[in-house]
Amino acid sequence: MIHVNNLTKLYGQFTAVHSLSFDVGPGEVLGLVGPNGAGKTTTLRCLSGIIAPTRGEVTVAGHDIQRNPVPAKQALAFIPDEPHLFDYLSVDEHLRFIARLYGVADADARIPGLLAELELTEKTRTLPGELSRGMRQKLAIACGLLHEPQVLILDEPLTGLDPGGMRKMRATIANRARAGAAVVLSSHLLHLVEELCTKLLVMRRGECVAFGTLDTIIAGRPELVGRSLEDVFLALTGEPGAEPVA
Amino acid sequence: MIGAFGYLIGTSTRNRLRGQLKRIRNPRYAIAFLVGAAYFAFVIFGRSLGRSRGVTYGTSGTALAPLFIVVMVVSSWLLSADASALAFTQAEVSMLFTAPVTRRGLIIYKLVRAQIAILVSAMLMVFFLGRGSSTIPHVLAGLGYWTMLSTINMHGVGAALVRARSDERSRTSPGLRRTARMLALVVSMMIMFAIMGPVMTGGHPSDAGPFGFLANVAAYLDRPVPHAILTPFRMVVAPAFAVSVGDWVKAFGPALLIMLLHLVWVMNADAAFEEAAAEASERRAKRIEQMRSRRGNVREVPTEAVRTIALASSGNPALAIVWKNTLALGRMLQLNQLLMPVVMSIVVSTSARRGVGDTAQSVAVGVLFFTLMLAITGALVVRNDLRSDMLHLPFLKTVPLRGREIVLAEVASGALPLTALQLVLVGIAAIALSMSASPVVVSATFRGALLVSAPFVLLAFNGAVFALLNGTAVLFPAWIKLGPTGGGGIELMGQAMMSMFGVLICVLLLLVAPVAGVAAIFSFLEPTGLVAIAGTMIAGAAILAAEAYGIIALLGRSFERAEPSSVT
Repeated sequence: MIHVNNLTKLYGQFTAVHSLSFDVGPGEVLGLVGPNGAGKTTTLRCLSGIIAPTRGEVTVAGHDIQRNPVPAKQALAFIPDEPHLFDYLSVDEHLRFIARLYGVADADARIPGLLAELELTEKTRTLPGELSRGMRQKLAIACGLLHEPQVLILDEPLTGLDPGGMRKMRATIANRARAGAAVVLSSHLLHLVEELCTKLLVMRRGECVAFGTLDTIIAGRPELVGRSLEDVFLALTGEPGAEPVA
Repeated sequence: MIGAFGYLIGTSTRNRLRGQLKRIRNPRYAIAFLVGAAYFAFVIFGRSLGRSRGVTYGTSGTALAPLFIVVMVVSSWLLSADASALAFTQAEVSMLFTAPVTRRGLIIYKLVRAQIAILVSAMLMVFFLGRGSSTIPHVLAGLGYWTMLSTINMHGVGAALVRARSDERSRTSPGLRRTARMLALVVSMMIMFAIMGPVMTGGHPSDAGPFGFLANVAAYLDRPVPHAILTPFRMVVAPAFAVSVGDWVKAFGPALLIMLLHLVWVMNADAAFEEAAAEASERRAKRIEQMRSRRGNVREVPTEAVRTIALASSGNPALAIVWKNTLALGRMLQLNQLLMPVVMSIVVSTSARRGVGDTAQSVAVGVLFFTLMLAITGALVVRNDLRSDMLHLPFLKTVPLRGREIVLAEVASGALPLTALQLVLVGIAAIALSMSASPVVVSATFRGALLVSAPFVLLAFNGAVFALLNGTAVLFPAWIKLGPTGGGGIELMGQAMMSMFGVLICVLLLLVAPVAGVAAIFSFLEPTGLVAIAGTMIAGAAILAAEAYGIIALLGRSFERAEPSSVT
């Protein structure tokens, strides 16, 4: 569903992402982890067509996102960590807007269910300025899910959500994957990654330092057997504090 | 505290300038920079040779300048136009408002920060407006503009502080706020009537020439009573409009004194504001957020969408962008912002009639004049296009649309509503003319042709202007102010003038081909019938539309290459 080959992104002399290659198939959830500045958000933005790679290619649902962006974007949804909503569109109008952009023919049937799932039913006419941070995040998620994308790209999806919202979001991601969507999520919440992801891609300074299932990664580093995901993460990324707490 | 503020302002300014200059490495920015630099060099070099002396104000212009100050002062008290005077950024609110800094300190910071924009604007005004018909050096003219802009800025801050305090008090005294505003409105109306009333009611000679109205107003303002009323306002503008060094020296002292008095007033108003705000810190935080969001001519964002427009979920997806922007426009603009200039245009047209035609014709001329004004200024006010949406670039880059489709939809979002409004005005003018009992200068055939071709001509022209303005957002996002307004405040007047000049030059260049085409048809084919004339006008509009579409297609490619990092 997602095919990334030799993805490289340069900003002048600075290499944000270097020669990244991976695949995410239908039903798979790829966790993108790494310390701040590792290149995770840049990678996600390249995958979703927001920025163009300097080298390499990204294919979404069989379409090159640079050469054939419209069908590729039709198949994906990108939910950023910071919800950027339109000040003058209400909750309901945001969904109507997205429905038209993506040609969601049965939007009238889908919208009430989605609003209920994300606890936005009583806020349909509210403008974003009156929504809490969590509600805004939920609206951004609703916008991303409305057209039932084949590829779901999420950057810190639980930011701003309350515990109930986090649980529902985890369930939503899992359900979408079970329904056949390919999911890529970036998060610092390692328990979320451990719970949801079928594969991990660990990044450090723009490069992939580990890729595969958690078991595969640990198998390649025998000294990490029996250690927590946090310890594995810190060891792989060479972060300070890699030594486990006694 | 002052040291920290100085550090913040200094380093922010330096880093911002560095960031903008760094953009010059990009060829597109480099070309724009060279064009701008060449223009300034031409202006300076030309003036030093005495070939260009800038704008000549004339007696009327100089005499009318105080009226501009009156309008600014009145609007800062009655409208929300200058509430931006108290606007702080999100970072300032979160870091400075929670720091051990007095409210007075914050106001000092606000005033000092505004000085950067004021100084730049004063410099640009010297360049664009020149020294008028005066012989004073550039530096003195710049100082004149600086005191004028600083005074208006401080007055806006002071008015906003007083209004904020009265808002606070009105919570404990129901109706006080409404009463205070009514009182301010009545007093302002009385002043305006005292100044303008006799002119409007015909107390002026009716044969004063094409710009007789302005000359009559200027003459009236020189009478004892209006002269006395306008004295403080005249003192504020006097150094900027001084015609000799001697006049400037005499005028600068009083202007500086008025500016300093404003500074004292703002400081005292600040203390009262602090006291009132301390009574309800929770409410204050909300109000500060509201103040922050009230920018320029944009109405405070409502909390709920009361009315909406239906949008089918199937059909051309690009229309969703037009729909979104049209909803936003309807929720941003206020009707009175439109009605006032229309009424003013009709009043001016009626007053300048010189005994020719009748009232119906004057109404038509006034409305048509405003329609033409909208063709240029309308696109600067209506910013529900990429000038706002570039802030949502990451989202727009993920929607399944080609760049040119997005740009076209954004351009249409502004051009279509503006054209619709202009057509309504043209319709009103046509009805007024049909009711006229006096002979009309323009033939019925030509009027009919203009009416038939108006939708095409206006839409093509508006499309071209909006394409150019959207081009500034796509090509130079780091150099222009993005958002629903171009940045509020008198201190940014110079920058706004520079943008307007740039767009006007580009519009004139775009008009060369269609005007030449229309002129050629009129010269060689000499169309006389309604259909032929209208067809010629529509052909010209088609050429302009083709040019506009060419720009949109090019911008579409640039949009596809644009990255969020460029919008900073």
